[in-house]
Amino acid sequence: MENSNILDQTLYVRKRKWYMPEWCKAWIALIPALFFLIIFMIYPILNTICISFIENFTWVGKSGSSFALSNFFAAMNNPRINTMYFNFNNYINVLKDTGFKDALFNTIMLVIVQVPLTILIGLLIAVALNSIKPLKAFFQTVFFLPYVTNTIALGVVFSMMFSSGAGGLINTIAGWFGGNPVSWMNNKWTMFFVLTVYSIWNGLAFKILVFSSGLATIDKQYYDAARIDGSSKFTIFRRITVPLLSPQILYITVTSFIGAFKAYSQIISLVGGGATNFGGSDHKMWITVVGYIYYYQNDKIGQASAAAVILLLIILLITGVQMLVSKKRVHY
Amino acid sequence: MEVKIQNLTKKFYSKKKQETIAVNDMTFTIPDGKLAGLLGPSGCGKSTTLYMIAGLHKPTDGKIYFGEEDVTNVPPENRGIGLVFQNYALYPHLSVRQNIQFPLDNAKIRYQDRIGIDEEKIKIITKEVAKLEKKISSLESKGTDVTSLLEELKQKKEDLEYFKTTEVPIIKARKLTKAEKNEIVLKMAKLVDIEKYLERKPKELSGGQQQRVAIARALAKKPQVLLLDEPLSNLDARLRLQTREEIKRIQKETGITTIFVTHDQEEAMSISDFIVVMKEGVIQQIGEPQNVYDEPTNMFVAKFLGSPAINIFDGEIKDGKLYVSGRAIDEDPIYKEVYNGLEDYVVNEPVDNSKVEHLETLIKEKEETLNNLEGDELEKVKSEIVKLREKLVDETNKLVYHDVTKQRPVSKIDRNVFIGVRPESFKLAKKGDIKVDIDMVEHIGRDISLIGKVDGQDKSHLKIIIPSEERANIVGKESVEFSLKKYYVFNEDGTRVK
Repeated sequence: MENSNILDQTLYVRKRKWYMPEWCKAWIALIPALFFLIIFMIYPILNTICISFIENFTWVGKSGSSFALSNFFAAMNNPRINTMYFNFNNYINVLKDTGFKDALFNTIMLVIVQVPLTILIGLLIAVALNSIKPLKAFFQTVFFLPYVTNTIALGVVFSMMFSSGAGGLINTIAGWFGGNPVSWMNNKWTMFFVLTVYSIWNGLAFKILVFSSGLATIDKQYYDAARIDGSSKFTIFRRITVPLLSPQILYITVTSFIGAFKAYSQIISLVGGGATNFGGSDHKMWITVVGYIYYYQNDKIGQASAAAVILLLIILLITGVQMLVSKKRVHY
Repeated sequence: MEVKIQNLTKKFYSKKKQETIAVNDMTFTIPDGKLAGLLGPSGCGKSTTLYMIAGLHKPTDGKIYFGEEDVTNVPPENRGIGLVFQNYALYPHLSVRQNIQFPLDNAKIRYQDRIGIDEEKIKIITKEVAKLEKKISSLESKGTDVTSLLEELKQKKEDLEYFKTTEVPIIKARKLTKAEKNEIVLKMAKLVDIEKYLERKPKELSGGQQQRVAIARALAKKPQVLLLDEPLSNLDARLRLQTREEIKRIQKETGITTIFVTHDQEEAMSISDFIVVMKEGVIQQIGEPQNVYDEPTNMFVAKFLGSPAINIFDGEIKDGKLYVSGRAIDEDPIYKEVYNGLEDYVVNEPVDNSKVEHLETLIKEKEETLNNLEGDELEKVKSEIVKLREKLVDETNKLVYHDVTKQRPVSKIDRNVFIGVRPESFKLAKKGDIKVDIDMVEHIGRDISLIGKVDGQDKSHLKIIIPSEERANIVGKESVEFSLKKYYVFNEDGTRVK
C-alpha cells in the first residue's frame, strides 16, 4: 500500500442500485406530447365522430361538459328538449345536399389538377437547380419566397393582380398583346385558372426544398456511371434520378394530396369573405369541403361533422392506395 | 485498341486562384490488348489520368488517342470505354441483371438492311455539296485561293454520282432486342462467375460479388478500353489475391486493352503486362514489371517497388571509386564523370521490317556521333534520337520508353551517394563488400531475415534475407560480412548513377 499508485486500480463509474427501465424513460419522454395530442386532436376527433351520428345535436348548456356523448345522455334525461337521435341521418342529409356535392366536386377538381402539376414542376425545377452552378442560391431564394410569405397576403395580391375589368395587372399585360380583359373572378372556370396558378406557385417552394435535399444525397458517381453507359439526360432522369428520389416523391405525394383535399385558406385569401361567409353568395361557387364544414358548423353541426368524417374517409382511402403502390415503386 | 497519350496535363484551380498540377505532361502508349497498371502513392495523379482517359475530366492540355482517333473532345458516352469505379457505383435500385443490362438499353447495333440505292447517303452528300458550293462562292468573292476546296467539291460530286447509280449495302442502326440483351447479360455473368445472383439487389451482395458485377457492367457493351479505378482496394486480403487472378483471366479471355490504377505495388507487378510508375503527376518509369524492379531509373522507383523495401545506406564516390564506410567496393569509369544523360531502353520483341532496320541504322549513326559533340548540338542530336525512337514505336508497336526524369548534372564528381540494395541481393562472404552489425535475427521458415546496421553508419537500417541453410554461419555472431550481388547507386537528388 505504501508506494502503489492509486491509478493502478480499475477505473469505472459507481454503479447505482436501480436503473430506470427503457420503457419507463420512453413513456416519460412521450407524455407531454401525448397529453397535448390527446386534448387537442384525439378528443375533438372522437367528439366529431360522435356528433356525426347524432341527429339534431345541440350543446346542452347545463351539463357543463364539452364531451358530446355526455351532452347526449344529459339531453336524453330531459325529454323536453330531446330531439336528438342516434342514427345515420346526418350522413344521408349531407350526401343529398347539393351544396356538399358542389363542394366535393370543387375540391376534387382542385386536387386532380393542382397536385400532379405541382409535383412534376417542382421535381423539374429541383433537378434544374441541382445542375446549375452560377446563381444557384439566387434561384433557390426566389423559389422559396412563397413559403415564407403569409397565405392571406399572397391571396390578396393575387386577387388584385387578376382583378376583373381593364385595370388589373394581368388584364393590362393581356392588353399589350392585343387581348381582351377577362373577368377573372366572376366566371367559375377563369377563377379555376387563377386558383390553380396560385396554388401551384404557393406549393412549389416546399416541394423544391424536399426534392433538392433528396437530390443532394444521390452520389454523383451514379450519374457518371450512367453517362459512361451511354444514357441521354432524359434516360438518366427517368431511370436513375426519379427511382433514387422515390422516398421523397412518396412523402411529397402523400402530404400534397392530404393538404390539397383540405384546401381552404388559399381559396379564402383569393375570394375574401371570412371564415363562415366564404366570400358571400356570389363567390360561393368555389367552396371546398372544408369551407362547407366551416359554413355549417354553427347551425347544422351534425351535418358538418358528417362531412368532416366523409372527408377523413376519402383521404384515408387515397393515402392507402398510395402506400400500396409505394411498396413496389419506392426504393430505399 | 491502342491508347496513346500525349503531353497530358491537368491543373486544378482553387477559389484562391491557387494552382494544383495533378498531372504534369504525361506521354505514353499502351498497345492493343495489354493490361497496364498506373502505380504510385496517393495523390500522384493516377486516378485523374484515368478519368481523363475516360472523359469525365477535361484535360487542361494534351491529347488522347484511341487508335488513330483523337478522342480528347469526345464525351465519355461516345468513346466506347468501360469504367469500374472504386466503390463500384452499382445502381442500388436495380437488380444485378438490370445493372448489367443498363448500358445495353442505350446501345445500338448496326445491321445490313438490304442492298440498294442509299437514299440517306445521297441526301447527306447533296447537303454537303450545297454547303461547299456556298463556301466556295463566298471565298471566291473575297479572292482567296479555293483550288483545294474545288477539288473537294469535285470529289464529292463524284461520290454523289456513284451513290446515285450504284447499289450499295445499306447499314442501319437499331436497338437490341430483349433476347439479344439477355444473351449478352448471361454471357457476361458467366464470364465473371455471378450467374447465381442475377436477381439480387447490390446491397444483398458481398464486396467481391459487387466488384464482379461492376466489371460485368463495364464489359457488357464490349468497350474498346476497360478502365479500373483501384479495383482491389476495397477487398479483404484473401479476396484480393483471388480477384487479381480473375481480372487477369478476364482480360486474357476478352483481349480488351485494360488500364488499372493502384497504389499497391505487389498487385501491379503481379498482373500487369507493364506498369507506369508516377509521382506527383510525373511519370517516373514505364516498363515491364520485372524490368522496372531490376532496373529502376531513380531512387523513388527503387524504394516504391519491392517488398520488403529496398535498403538504402550512405556511400561515397572518391577518385573514381565507390566507398562504403571507408571500404572501396567498386571501381568504374562512370564514377569519374558527371552523369547527365537520358536513359532509353527497349522492351519487347522486335518486328521484321525493312523500315525498322532503316530507322535503327539511322539511330545508330546518330548515337555514334554523340561522342564527338557537346553542348547544344549534343542536346539536338539526342532529341532527334528520341524522335526517331518514337517513329520506331509507331512502325513496330515496339515499346520504347524514355526516362522522363532527366538526370541533372551534379556539382562535383567526388560526392556522397546513396546505395540501394534489395534484401535478397546480399550474400554471405568471408571478406565481402560491407560489414553489418546484427540487431535481430528472424527465422521465417524458408528464409532468415536479419535486421542490422551498416558498420560505421548508426542511422542505417538494413533488412537482409538469406536462405535458411546459412543459419550456421551467422549463429552467435555480432557482425557479419556480406558481398553485394546487385546494387544501385543514386545521387543525393535520387537520380541513378549505376
